Amino acid sequence: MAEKKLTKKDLVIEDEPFKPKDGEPITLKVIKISCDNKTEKALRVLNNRNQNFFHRSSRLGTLEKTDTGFKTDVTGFEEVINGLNYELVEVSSKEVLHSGKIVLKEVKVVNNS
Amino acid sequence: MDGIVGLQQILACDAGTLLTTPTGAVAMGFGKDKIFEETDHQPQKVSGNISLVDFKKLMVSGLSHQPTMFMLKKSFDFLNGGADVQVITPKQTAASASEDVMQFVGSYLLGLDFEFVISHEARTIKWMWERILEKAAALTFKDTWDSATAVSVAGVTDTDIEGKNYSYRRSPKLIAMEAPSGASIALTDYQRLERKLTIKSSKAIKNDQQQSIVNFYTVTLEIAGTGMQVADLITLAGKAETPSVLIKEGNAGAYYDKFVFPAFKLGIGNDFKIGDDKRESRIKLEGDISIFAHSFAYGTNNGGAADDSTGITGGTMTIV
Repeated sequence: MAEKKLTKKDLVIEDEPFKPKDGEPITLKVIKISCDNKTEKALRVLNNRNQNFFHRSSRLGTLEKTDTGFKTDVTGFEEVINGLNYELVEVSSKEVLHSGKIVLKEVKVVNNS
Repeated sequence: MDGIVGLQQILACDAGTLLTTPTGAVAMGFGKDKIFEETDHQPQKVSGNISLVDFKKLMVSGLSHQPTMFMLKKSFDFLNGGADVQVITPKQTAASASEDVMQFVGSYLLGLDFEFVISHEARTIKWMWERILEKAAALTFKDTWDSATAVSVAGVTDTDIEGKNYSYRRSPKLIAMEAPSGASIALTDYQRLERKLTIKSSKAIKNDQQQSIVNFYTVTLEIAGTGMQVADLITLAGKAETPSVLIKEGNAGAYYDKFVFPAFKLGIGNDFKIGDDKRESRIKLEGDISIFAHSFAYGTNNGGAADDSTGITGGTMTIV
């Protein structure tokens, strides 16, 4: 099997509006990953000891399929994983497909005064 | 496709170092009975005789025939959350790197109990690692096994993935067994039937993650002999209640492992039996010792090579 080329790119934590069936709309923090989604992938966010301390997986359903790849809800963890390195891994071959940093998108503060 | 049986590697190193620069790494190498086990931990029974599982218990164990002084010293260091552990299965397909790799690091650290044995039959060390994980965390952990990349540790598992090393192999080779130090233990070599020195973690308390918290280690020396004469029994009875003990076991060439137990640490007891076909005596010395009450010395005059600073050729353990 031909080895795929490792792509370096940062993953951005974005806001995504969500309207629950009941209740007020809320904003989720999500990471969207553009990649082939036909095979199982794992996203591992590494701490300063290189340990996989935040794991998301298509097999577990914590990486959801989208039209362009995968997305995962990181609401509540956005501050914890912001700035850390990540690796997106092809499960079958253990090949690291993408790596880079997790970046929390800055929220622009609108001054109404 | 079927999963392939067996475990290739159980390796431990200082906590927090496996995935950066592994330090203090030890692998089981020549050994047997390597097991990983996941079981339900104390399911809650509810009406209808239904078991609800909240936690999974993870256990790793194995017996190594490479019980160097370094491995014994590291086993003490690895107690109480001191180790990262890597467990590797054989390849699960013909593809390269298809081994399942379990890395017990960070929030997956295991608790350790160990048992170091020198007997007339074998020299071994047994590791027993354990913890529980809440069910979802256990599932997430499991999901990492077939995508994690194994760490190869230079000088430990880079030549042989199990960590087999001929120079770390230890076999029984009694040089001295004295109580008190300098005096015979009251059995000649020819009378001795069995001997066994055990140094093991003991009286562990389990925390809420079922990881061992170890405060003591137990030292036990058991010797069985035959043909003791009355004079030998009187010599034995004349020994102090807690004699000093010295044990010296040979390694390769002139190197050796030495164990020095001062007086007041091990209590001595003995049983003697005369029957139709036996005249057997059993001597037992035993004591519990606080977990940090020991020191290790290496190099010349301590059993090892001059340039050995870790105890891989030999060394001396002194109870303090």
